[in-house]
Amino acid sequence: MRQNRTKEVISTEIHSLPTDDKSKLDTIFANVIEKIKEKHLS
Amino acid sequence: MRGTLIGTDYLYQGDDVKILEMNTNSAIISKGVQYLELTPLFQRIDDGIITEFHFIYSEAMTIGRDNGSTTFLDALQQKCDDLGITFEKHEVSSDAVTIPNVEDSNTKFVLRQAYDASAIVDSLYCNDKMEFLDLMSGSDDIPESYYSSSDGFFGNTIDLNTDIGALEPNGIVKSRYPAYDVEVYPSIKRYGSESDLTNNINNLESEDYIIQEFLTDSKNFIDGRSVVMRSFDIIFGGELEIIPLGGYRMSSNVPMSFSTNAFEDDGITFDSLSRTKYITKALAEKQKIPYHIDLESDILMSDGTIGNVSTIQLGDTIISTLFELISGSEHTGEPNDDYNEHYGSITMTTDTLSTTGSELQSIVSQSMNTMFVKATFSDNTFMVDSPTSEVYIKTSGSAESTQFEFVNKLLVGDSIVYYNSGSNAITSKEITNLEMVWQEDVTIYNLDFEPYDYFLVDSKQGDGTFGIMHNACTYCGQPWAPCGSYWCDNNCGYAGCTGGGFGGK
Repeated sequence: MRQNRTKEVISTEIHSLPTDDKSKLDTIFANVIEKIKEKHLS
Repeated sequence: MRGTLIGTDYLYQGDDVKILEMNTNSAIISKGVQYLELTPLFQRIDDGIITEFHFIYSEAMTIGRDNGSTTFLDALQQKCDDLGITFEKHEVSSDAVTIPNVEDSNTKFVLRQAYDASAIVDSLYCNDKMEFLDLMSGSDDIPESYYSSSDGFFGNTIDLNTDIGALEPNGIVKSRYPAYDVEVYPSIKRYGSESDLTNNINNLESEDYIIQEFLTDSKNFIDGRSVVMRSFDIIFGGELEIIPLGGYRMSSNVPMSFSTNAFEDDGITFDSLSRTKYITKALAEKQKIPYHIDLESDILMSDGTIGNVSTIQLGDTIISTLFELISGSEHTGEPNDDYNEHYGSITMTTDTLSTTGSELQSIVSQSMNTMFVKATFSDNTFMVDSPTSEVYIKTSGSAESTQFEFVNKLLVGDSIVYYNSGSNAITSKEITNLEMVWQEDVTIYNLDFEPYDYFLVDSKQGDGTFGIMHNACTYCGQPWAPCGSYWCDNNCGYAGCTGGGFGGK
């Protein structure tokens, strides 16, 4: 069998989003979409 | 119903979060899929009416960045299978600006993870940073910015912060549009004074560049690496409803401790290595060519002489080894569907070894500053090679098993397999350490030898040994091997792939 590998010497590391601040990201994204709606859907 | 998947990048500034940019062809790294929450999406569409899920995706964004991983696509398909919803894929090329027409209906959910120039969100707010900054002007959600263009965009909210360390960044120059020189931009700055900033504004490469404050909050670093927060949301329907999918934090490839920050001659621009520590793009995104060896590589020619990669000519013939593999060999003559395998054994390699000639069909080069991998061996000799080179190895923990592997995926305990041109013997040397090494102005090459894909690169050990390297297969025209194997051979059955073994097959 071939050894399938995920570890890399040069690699981007992935971490979870900070739980406490996830809502801040959602709020900002909602603000952006709201501005797009105001500009193009109103 | 149609939905668009948008990836958005954010950074901290104190307790606040600032939005950097958003993209509709945003890559989802397979290791990050575990942090996404698909349930809200499928709760929304599992209404008993939708029976078809159509996924329009950019080949490079969805499956190209992670060595062919299809983790996100597979997760979508699995959810659909669980719900009895038909899943249909619509792949577009990485440089596509339009998408295939999938007729909408009440029974379909059409999700797009690809750029569409006809969509306002894409063409205005993803493609054009000035449009985005103009949209968000007056908001505290964006970093302080300077931008000015002859088509009417202007903003200057930068309140320069010089109350930081002399080697810490306080500015960043970005391209307005997605097509830019990734060797230069984003360019990271340390303005010592307002006049430095003003001079930089007056000397921007063109009006198609913006300057923003650099957000150096300590929360933008994890385990000594800079990170960016990337969230994914789906907007859908006429009212642009939002389905949040969560996200992850993605680090730079290089830890801050790798080097001390240093500047270009202008005294304000971070040099290439220092800049790399703040860039979170995947290493492969810098490379325009998929596979390469570097200028130091000497190749065994058919007449027994050594040819340097810089002098080898189209039509030149090199010596290629022939040996059978347990799976994936192009020399067995047996069609094999298992192209991801390509593994063998030392005994089989030795017992079936012979050599033949193979001709250089194409050569492409690129100069760049980049990170290579240094492998040190048990006798304290070492090799330095590009992370996407593919070498023949004896695998860690095994006395027999061999396979082709990317240099970036080597493990301590692997052994590089060598061919000795004098004795025709196969030997190997064990790796005892692996580390990153920075390479300035390195020229990398993509070579294609046919009909046989293996070529021999001098180990520089002075003992007549040569590492066994493998061509990349790009006969489908894609640099990321959509068939799933960078070392596919002449029997590859992937649609559009003519196989890595014989050009024009």
